[in-house]
Amino acid sequence: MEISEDSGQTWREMPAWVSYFLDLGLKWPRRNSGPGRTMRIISTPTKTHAAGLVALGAVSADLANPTANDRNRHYDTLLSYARQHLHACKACKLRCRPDIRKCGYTSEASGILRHKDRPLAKLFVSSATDFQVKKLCFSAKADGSGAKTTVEGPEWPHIFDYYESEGIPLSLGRSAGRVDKDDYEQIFGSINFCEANLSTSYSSLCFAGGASGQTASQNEMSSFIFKGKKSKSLANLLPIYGWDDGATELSRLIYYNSRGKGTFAHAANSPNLVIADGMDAFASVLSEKKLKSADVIALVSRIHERDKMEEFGALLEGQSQWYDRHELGSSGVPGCFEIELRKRVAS
Amino acid sequence: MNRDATSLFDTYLADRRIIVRRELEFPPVAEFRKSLIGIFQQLDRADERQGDIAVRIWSIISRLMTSTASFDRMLPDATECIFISPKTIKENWGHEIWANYDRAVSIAYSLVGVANPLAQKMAESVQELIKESRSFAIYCPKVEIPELQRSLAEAELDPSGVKVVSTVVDYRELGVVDTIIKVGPMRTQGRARTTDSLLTSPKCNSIIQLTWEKTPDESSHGYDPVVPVTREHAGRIKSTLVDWQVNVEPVVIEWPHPIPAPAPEASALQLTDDLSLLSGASREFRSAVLLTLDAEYGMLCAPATKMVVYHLGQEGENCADARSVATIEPGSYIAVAGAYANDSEADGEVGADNYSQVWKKKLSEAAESAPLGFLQKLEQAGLDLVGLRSSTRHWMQPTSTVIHAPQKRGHFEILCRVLGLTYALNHRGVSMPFWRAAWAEISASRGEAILEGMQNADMLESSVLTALRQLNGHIKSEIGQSRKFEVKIPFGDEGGYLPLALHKVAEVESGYRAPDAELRKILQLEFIQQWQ
Repeated sequence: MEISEDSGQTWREMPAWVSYFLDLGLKWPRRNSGPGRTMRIISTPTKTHAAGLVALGAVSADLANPTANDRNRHYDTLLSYARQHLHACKACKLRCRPDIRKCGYTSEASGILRHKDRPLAKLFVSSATDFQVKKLCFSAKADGSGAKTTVEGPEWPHIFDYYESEGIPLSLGRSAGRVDKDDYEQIFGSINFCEANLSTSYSSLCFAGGASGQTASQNEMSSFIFKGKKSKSLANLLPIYGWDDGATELSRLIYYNSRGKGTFAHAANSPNLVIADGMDAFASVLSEKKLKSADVIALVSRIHERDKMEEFGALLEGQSQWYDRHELGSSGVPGCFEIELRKRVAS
Repeated sequence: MNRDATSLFDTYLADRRIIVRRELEFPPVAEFRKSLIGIFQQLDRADERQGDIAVRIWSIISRLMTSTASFDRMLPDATECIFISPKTIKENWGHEIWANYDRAVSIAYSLVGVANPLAQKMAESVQELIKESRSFAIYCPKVEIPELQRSLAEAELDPSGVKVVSTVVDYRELGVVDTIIKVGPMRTQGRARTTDSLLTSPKCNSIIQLTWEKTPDESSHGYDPVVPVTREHAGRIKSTLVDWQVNVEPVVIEWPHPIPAPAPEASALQLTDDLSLLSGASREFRSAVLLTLDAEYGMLCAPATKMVVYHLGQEGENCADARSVATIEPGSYIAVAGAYANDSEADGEVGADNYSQVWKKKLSEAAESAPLGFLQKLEQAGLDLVGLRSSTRHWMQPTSTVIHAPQKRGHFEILCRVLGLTYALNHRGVSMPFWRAAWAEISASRGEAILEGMQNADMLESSVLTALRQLNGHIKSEIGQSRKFEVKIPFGDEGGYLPLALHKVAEVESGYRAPDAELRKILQLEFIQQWQ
């Protein structure tokens, strides 16, 4: 297969370094929870598309994993959302400044639910919701009037059709497309994809972009193209919500914006793997509460101002109180060097 | 983003890379440097005025290290300006300093009009590489690029075809080349400042380095927290990923003219690594980003400083945001708040006290009636500035981006005293000397406002953001092509106002190191250049 790093101006057979980074993401041992976090830092001689390639590998691995979707925790997610709205956001006078309010949340829960096939219509979380018995109630009008729906538990057959307004649909609506597995198979060969995953969102995999913001990240990833039956750029292949020119509404890779205070592109559960593109992204990931237990693969370029390198050095040094540093040495790619920070686990 | 990472990764398959260090031995430059070191070693660095002299010497040497310009009047002029009063050096500073100074000035004059050997060797290296059909780039400071291009043109080489790298950003965007010609030593500050990546993430297999003799690279250059480089063996710079072999080639340049002998006390002086010796003069400096506002003024800020930025043409919330200086884009406007005042003031003209009109008028009168006598009075009173005459002319200019005035508070106090402005006045309800009130006005114009009792940065930021978003329509219709726009915004709970100036950012440039006290002030670019 041929690839282009410059938006299709020049083409070459897929080089070994591209395969290396795709494989790294594909074969990364995924942890679902628990201690023992690992952070792999790969020092590269320049800024490359490597972070996008690692993410693409990890996305493919998830597509083949039957448990890699948010179905199991979807009901709990909706209940948490309702709890935040009813117990905190509804009565809050600061819209929305968690930094001042010190409420412990990162963004507002407006209490609005939507249906995947009627995304413009609103339903409202009702105060009749009972968290003790895990009963979720919502109504057609904000004041609690209108048609009411009561969901007694996660077994309700339509529960996967609803999602929180600040989030994205768990499964695709009637009008939306689905992930085209041919795109992935032409890169990774035959993979036993889980059919359900091709139309279901997942929020346990995260891509932390650089300080220049999401649009810049998307543009950078657009310049790397795989030439196959249908040529696709990395930006097209990474299932980040809104990156595939509206082809699907799916999100299987949540974007974390390192610009400013650091924000997720939409509501997310706690991811278990983060791919950080650059030093800024890595620093931001370390300070994000929701990413505290996720494994991290960080791709950091060595071309920076001295001050920035020193800041990064101090950041690595600062981790030594919780992590053991392991030098993995030169990686499978010439000019790259890998270290791993492994969190100490109390014995 | 590198668009050809494959080629770059492939260069790491090479076993060893080479640095050919051509060290130019040119007697007048070597003796000139020795004389300046002779002066420096005699100074008492604890004395602030002597510290200024050290910084001036450092500036001269720093420029000499990387300049390919022909020697011109600039060198003797700068050397003569090391001391404020050249005529009294012997009396004030003693014989040894005077002898070294006199010798340095004499050598500097003898060099005027002489071609710079660094330029000659650079042109020769370029010709050699072109002949061998090798791709290359030249690494030199941004300010030296015009001279470098002139030197290439004089050697009948086409400067437009030569890639020049000056900053980390340039280096990041450079593709793979066979050779990089590096002018000057590899240092971490000053004009010889070189990105560490040149060694740690090479984009070439060979470097031709052109330096004067005894100007070693800084031992800490090549910093990398993940893949450290070592210099355990002479002539080798090595890490797990790179292996540089350094070959030193002395190049002797003949100088047929006599050089004045040093004073007997200075005869034992050796040529040493003068940049390292002098770098203590700027050790306390911190990294800064320069926001150029217009052809004359700019502001230095720490890269992480958060500023409110106005984006002309954007709507709603997008028209203003708070961001770190390093992410500000040229063309946007930075919001600089002035001093807080409330409605109870008589004139209601917040931040416009017009003291500057008073002292500028006095200054014009004094400078025009007896220019020499006036300058002498200023000097005697302790206003020890290089180029005092041109500085006073500058201070007389009417207010533009800022109120043109001395950069230091102490200097301004002296100026007012010499002008006879020693009376006290009532400034916003407080009795104070004229100079103090006028200095507050100058400070406010430079963005150094102190919000009396309201130093809550969050509150200020949020007030400014809200106001800019509300005033977006008004600003858009009024601002036109202006580089500066002033507006008053409500602030606090007591009906007070803040004067807010929006300054258009022309350019954003990193790589400065400046004292803390000079950050977040609108200063002359000429003044700022010393911290590059």
